[in-house]
Amino acid sequence: MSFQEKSAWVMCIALIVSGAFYAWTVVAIAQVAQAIPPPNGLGLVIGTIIIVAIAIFGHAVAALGNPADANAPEDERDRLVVWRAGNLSGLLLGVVCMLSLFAFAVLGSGNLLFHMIVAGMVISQLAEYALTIWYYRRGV
Amino acid sequence: MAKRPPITNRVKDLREAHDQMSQSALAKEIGVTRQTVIAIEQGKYSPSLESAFRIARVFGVGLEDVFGWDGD
Repeated sequence: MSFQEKSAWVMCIALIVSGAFYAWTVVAIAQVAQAIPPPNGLGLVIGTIIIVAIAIFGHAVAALGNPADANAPEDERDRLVVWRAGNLSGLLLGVVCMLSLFAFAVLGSGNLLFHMIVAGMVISQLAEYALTIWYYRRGV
Repeated sequence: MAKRPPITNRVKDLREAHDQMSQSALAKEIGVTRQTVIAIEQGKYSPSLESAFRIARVFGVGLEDVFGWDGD
């Protein structure tokens, strides 16, 4: 497994854990308030810390396993994988943004707009890393 | 599984016939990672034209002695 693939796995895990935590805080507040909660700044900060911590730890472990691989520059296949995965995840983010704007136009809820955008960013990044792993495993 | 590129290759056979050259050594010669050489040999990745020429030059053969067309 190349370092880039290991990196994608680490970031997938980081995003799943962080995204699940943030979603849990939003749902918990919504259940109490019986309404779409406002942006949860503290939840975002903690979620970001979770991502950074898992990313640092995971990449350090991956690099220690094969330092030469970790320091090697990207080659043509790496660049193609990154480009394709990023292209599709960007399209997905665009679709989610459009849906969020439509929801805001119809429902007028700024809180819903905020949470949909955050969810879209997490989902599109997850898609990028998942596609990266797929392309490395199955071919590009 | 992702659709395989319609290009076949004899990279592994030529590499083994070339004094049992390792994948790492070939990767270093053509400027890609070992994983990319593995992907080429398994037919999961078609190298760029430049890399294809580099591979052929390493083995001292022509491009069509290394790669073949398996498409329509």
